[in-house]
Amino acid sequence: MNQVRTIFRRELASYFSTPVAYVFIVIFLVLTGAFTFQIGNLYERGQADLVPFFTFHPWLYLFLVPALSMRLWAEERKTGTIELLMTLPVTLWQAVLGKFLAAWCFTGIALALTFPVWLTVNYLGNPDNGVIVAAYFGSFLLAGGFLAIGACLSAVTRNQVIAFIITVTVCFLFLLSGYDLVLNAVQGWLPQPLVDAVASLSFLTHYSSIVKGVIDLRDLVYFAMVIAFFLVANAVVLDMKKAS
Amino acid sequence: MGDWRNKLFSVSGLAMLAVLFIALVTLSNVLLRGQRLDLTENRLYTISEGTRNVLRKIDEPINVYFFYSETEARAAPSLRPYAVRVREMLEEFSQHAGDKLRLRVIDPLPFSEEEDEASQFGLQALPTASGASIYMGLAATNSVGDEQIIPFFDPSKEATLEYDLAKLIYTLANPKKPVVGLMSSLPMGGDFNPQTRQPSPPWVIDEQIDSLFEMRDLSPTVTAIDEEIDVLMLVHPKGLSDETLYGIDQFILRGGKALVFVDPHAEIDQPAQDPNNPAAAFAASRSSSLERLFGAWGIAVPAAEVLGDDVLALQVSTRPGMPPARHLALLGLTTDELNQDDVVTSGMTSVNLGLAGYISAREDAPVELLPLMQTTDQAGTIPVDRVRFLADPGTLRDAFSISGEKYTIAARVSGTVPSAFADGAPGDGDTEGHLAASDGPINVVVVADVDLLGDQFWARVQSFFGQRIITAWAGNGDFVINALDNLTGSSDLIGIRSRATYRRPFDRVEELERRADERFRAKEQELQDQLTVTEDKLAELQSGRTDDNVLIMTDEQSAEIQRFLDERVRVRKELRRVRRDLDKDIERLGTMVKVINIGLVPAVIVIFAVAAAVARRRKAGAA
Repeated sequence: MNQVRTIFRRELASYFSTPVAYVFIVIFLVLTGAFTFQIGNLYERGQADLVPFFTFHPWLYLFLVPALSMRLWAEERKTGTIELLMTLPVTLWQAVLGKFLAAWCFTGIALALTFPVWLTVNYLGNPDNGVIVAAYFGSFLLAGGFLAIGACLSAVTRNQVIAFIITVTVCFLFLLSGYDLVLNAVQGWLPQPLVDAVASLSFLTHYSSIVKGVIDLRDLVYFAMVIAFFLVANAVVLDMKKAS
Repeated sequence: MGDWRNKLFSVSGLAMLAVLFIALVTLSNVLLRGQRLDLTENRLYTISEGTRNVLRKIDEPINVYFFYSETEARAAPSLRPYAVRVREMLEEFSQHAGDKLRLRVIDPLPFSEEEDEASQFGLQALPTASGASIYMGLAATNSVGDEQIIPFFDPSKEATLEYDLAKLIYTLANPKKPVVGLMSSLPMGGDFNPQTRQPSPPWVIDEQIDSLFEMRDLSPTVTAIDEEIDVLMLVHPKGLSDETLYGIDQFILRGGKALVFVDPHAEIDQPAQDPNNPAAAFAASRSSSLERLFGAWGIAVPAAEVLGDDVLALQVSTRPGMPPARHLALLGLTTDELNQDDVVTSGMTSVNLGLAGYISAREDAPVELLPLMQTTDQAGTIPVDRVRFLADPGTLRDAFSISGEKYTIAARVSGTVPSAFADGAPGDGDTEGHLAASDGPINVVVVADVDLLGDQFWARVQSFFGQRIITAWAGNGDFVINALDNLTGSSDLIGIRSRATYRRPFDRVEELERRADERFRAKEQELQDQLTVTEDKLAELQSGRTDDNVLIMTDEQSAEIQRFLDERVRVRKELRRVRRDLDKDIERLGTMVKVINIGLVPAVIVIFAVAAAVARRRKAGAA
């Protein structure tokens, strides 16, 4: 566990030692703000809740999280620092977990910096703060899911741009799998239980149920499993690459 | 050699992992149902225990069709949040009922089969500006073909949404009409009028109950209340024998529900005239009580006092030709006096009472009183003798003192109570099957007024080509029907309380709007006043004229009109400015909010990042 903590610290510190972190956070904040107020019309609709704010999170994450995760392994592989990392007295697991947690924590910081919007609705009206707490939690879980996917796919290639594109695509599929568009496409050639399974894979359905203010055990388990699966896959991929 | 094998293992390992993942997610979706943490302030997504019991007890499957014109409703965004709320509650219902409740959400597009279906069910369509119609109603059917609908989900009735839905499901799950046993000392079902020698029609309330429930008249001498009776409605019980009281006592202890109307003085109770002794009728007691049972429950309705309320007093005309006077003891209850948190009185706006009594509970009473109707705090008691021979209601005010207390006129009585007959059945003392105490909490609604049932207090009956047309001008009938409806439902339904509303407006913005509106109105009033002044002045000038050409305006008059017109232009301009300013205030707040949210934190971060970079460079330079 100590090694995980060391890697976590080193990674997190490395975010802030370059302008990348600040640029990322500023873009994230400006975009959430603009989407919430300009497109979501949070002010004009006159309701003291953060629905327009959280509605856009999946779509923002879809592009921002892969941008963050693409360099996680691809860069290490390209620059060769991965060999260095592997010679350190840490196991593959600890490295995977430490890097992921650092990135997740970073998105958490970015998310926490949206606090003015919470203060705003409390100033303007009397919102249901329980719902907002749940929604922030749901958004954080969602970011974790995206990140785990991104981390895994970043290990597949040396090229960050390719990592980015694949990650966006896969995340997009995970977002949409609950939609009729996707379901109709698979309905024809998959048996019903599998169609249901595809439907239950959607990030959106699980996320939107948490955002309502209800934390369902199934949603928790879902996000936990997504993260766990992609982290395991991440380790397996790295192992494969190392072997080759 | 080992290389490709490794790779193969890894690739197949990944594939297996993926299959495992999908399997686990699917499985957990099925197996981990119902474990949830509701963080909403009003527990919006946690349906109450009562509803859950109703859903659990469904035997035959019920089909529920929620018609919501999602596509068309884009034109009416205000409906959306409530539609989502309704749908989620229905989904919650169906989750608890398992396969016993089949929910289908239907978007009836214009000219589609679904739309025909919706209108066939009798659902109401809300027309939009563009000429389309929005459906947001529900139809449900059970296996024997009964049908129940909610024509349109009215967002203003959100507080009782869960109750309304649960009630609908309950009605379909229990299709038999509930049985109301009516024991009344008053001729509610109609009477023979000796003066006109014609039968008088039944009371409106009696007719209404009869149309909604299976009504059985009970003789005031019965000694046992039939098990089949769901609710016992006792009206003005007078001089009941011990045997009858015992029957009622045991019925209630067994879990039978009761709606009891007693009164210290029922105006409506007209004693029979005795030609030999006309004074006897005048002096006859018009009070009723259920003292023995009430005593066992720890409550009382004092028989010697009626209530007066200075705020609620109704106007009555006492004699023809005289102006109407306020009658302190005739009360017109409004929204504030009717408990809006209880499903029986929620949403009701008026109930009229006459010479009502009040209910009190002993300190150590085994029951709990939940008030349904109360007076204001400007109420006091009046001795019954003072209202008995009342010629002029104005005199009630003499010697009336306000106690400052809120009196309870109607209440739910619940709790585990002992029998009023501790020694078993009266008379022969047969103790077989005797219940010494209630099995569980009893379910009784006690109302300390009988007059509210009389037509003259709430309904106007007109004859129209031989048809009786009834117009209600107070909610007395609704109250009785709601109470019976609620009591016959099941104790599960009774437990469902209304919820707080879902809508949370921006109070601060609304406050700004309100303030601006006030300012606008003040300006408008100013303009109006100005106009009146000018008109007066013109009239004055006109009447003061002595010349012959009264139809032609003098210069003075024209000047005055011109002055007014100028003034009007000025005030109008002012009004437009006020309107603009008010919008400006709101816009300014919005702009501030947006700037802070979109720009402030990023700006701070940029400054911080630049400062950090500069500091680092300096440090590097120094080194």
